[in-house]
Amino acid sequence: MQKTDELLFKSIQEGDLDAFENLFNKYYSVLCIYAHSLLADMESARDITQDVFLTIYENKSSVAIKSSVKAYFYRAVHNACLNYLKTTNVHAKHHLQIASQNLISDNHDLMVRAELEAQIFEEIQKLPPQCRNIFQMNRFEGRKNKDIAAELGISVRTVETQISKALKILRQNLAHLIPTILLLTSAA
Amino acid sequence: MMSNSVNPHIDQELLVRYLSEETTTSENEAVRRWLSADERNKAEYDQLKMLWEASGKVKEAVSVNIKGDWKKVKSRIDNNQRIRSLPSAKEKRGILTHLIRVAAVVTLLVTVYLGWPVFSDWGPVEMITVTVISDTSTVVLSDGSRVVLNRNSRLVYPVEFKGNVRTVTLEGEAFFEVVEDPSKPFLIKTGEAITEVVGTSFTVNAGIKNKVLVTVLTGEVLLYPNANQEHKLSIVPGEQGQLKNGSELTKTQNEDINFLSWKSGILVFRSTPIDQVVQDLNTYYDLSIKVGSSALKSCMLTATFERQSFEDVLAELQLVLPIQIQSNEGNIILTGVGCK
Repeated sequence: MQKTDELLFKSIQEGDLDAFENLFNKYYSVLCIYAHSLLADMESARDITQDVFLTIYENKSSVAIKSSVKAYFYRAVHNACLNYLKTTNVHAKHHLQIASQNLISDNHDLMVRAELEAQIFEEIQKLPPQCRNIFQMNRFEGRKNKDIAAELGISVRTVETQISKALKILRQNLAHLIPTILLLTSAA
Repeated sequence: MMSNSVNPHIDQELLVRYLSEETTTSENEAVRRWLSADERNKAEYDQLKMLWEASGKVKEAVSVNIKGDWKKVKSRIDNNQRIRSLPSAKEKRGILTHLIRVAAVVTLLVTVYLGWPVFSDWGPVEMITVTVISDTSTVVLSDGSRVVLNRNSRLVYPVEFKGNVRTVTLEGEAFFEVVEDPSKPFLIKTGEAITEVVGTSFTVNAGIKNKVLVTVLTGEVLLYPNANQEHKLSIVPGEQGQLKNGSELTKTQNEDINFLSWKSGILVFRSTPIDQVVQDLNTYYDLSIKVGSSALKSCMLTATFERQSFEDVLAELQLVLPIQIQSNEGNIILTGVGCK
């Protein structure tokens, strides 16, 4: 897995934009989530992550990867977030507490957390459409089940059935991660 | 109680209702009874609850639009490549690197040969006058020194330097790259000021009323009033000397990284406030752009423009900053809600 990243990066250094898009598709989401955990602001997290990708591409020939491509991107995003917090004091003020808390906590822990979140999100996206839609309305939008039922013109019971189905599928597909999730949710 | 299958006695929909906190008091009671009936029930519930909470935490990821955001990054890459491929930019960069290299050599020599200049009369010689109205122009003097004149500037110099000093007269602004010759100091007369060179590169700006500005890139330059040649101000790289009203000599650190932009064709901004950016663009392109909303003053720009057309620069500004550009009867006004 790491090796293919390094091979991808070699192609990128030779100017292969498709290889770069590959790497972008692979890490963009998780890096955004990681940046969000530092900044508590997804819009800035996305902007900063895009900047990082651009900067790395622009400087591809002088980039020296010592450990892994993945670690390099995480480090770059981490630094960019710190930089951002430093230069935007006003905006960061009310986020600073969350952010600085996260900044002192173990970096590796934050990476694991971001990756978990990305995987959970990915699994949610893989749910059957109707099931996913209902599950997201509840979990992401914080809607009451009876509101969801009313909007979709179905019974509350059906909404609950779909949510229970979603949980069942997630539990199956995320079984290998459950011990880690448990650690993280209890730490948070 | 069944031992193999977990929780045969609970309604899954009831659990969902419980997790959603939409249960009635009696339903709560039922769930609690079920939970305490068997440890495996509790374990199952804990897993569901954990997935429940974890799912609630990843909602921010919804706004991450991989395809759309990739398009943004790609268009920025394409744009940068287009800028770099402009032939004039490469050409210009080549010249600048060359200049800096030459200047560096001169700097080394200066430290070895630094001495007192000797003044003496020089006989009548044929003089040449170069006047630059628009654009810039490079003049090579008989000793090999080069002078790049900014627009609206004039240089008067002899066909050949005779005597013990090399003297030229400048109106306006110019960049000098002076060939080292310790036996023949190089003097630039600008109205009430004399700039004396010990082999170096620097700019002299006499284009401002009652003021002469000397900014040094390499080497060392002496600035003094025509009327009082005893008092000499030494200026070294990074400094800017100023003679005001013919007698007031002062020296400051040069904070204007774009002081040479008119010559190099390169404008550099490093977290530069928008006001300063606009001022530099106006100077470089000879325009009068205005910042139309005070909210924009919070915006800072980090960018490098190399010999780009003004239209390209504006397009790039709009890409990196949340600004709108209004063009109205030749007036260009920047507006926007400002930066975070």
